[in-house]
Amino acid sequence: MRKGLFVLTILTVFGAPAVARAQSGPDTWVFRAGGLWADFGSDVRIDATTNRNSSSTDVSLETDLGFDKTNQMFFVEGRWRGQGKSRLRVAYTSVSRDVANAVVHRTITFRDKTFDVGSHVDAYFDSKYIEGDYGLAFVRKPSGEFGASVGVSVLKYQTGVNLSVNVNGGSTVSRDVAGNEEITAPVPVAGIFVE
Amino acid sequence: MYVTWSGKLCVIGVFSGNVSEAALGVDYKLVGPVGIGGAYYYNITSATGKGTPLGGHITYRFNGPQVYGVIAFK
Repeated sequence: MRKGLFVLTILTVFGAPAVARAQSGPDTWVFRAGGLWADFGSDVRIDATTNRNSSSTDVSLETDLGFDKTNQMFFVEGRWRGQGKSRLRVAYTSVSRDVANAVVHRTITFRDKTFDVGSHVDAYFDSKYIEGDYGLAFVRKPSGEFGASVGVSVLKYQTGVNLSVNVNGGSTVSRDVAGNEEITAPVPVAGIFVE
Repeated sequence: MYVTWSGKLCVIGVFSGNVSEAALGVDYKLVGPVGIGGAYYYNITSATGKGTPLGGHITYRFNGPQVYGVIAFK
């Protein structure tokens, strides 16, 4: 709710002058870089490598392993608008999340390992999104444009859970734990935009 | 002010997944080409597989406000 009010405030304060500025015509190049203060929700199941048909445990990173529900993400985006109705966009978003010395409250099977109740574990989940798309404006006027886009996104997830090396504390979680799983997948993109 | 939405659906071998993301934001120029911006961003990913690149299932959602710097020029 607070975040919704924050966004509404931003739109109210900056929206009118931004629209007025748009009357002079859109920019050809736009680069944005900054932070995203995100709420997370996740459900992860990594099956055994020896038998991918045997289901492991569905794990909520936040509820079962105690990951923070909020985290900061970094992003950068660039857009080029051509003289016709074309535009190109590339974007990169990344976040690294982990938890050290979490106590397992129910038996969890993650990849090839089972962690019993009371086990202390280190876990991490890193995600990266690399996007590129081509857009075509159906309507383009000095005040704005509306169109559709197609492209490719590359999703990269790395995650792992392992017994804690030091049950007495510590905050560093190695990305080289034995239970690693890495997924990289290109995904076709279709979208719309209004600007 | 800008609004974007994109949805992705892919089936590659034994892997299937989809991603939806949306953003609503405003850019404001301060000096010359330099400005600031704010947006609200939403992203949800769901992926399932039985082999490579994924054996298992991932549903991953994140959303929240963005604050950023902008450089824009003609």
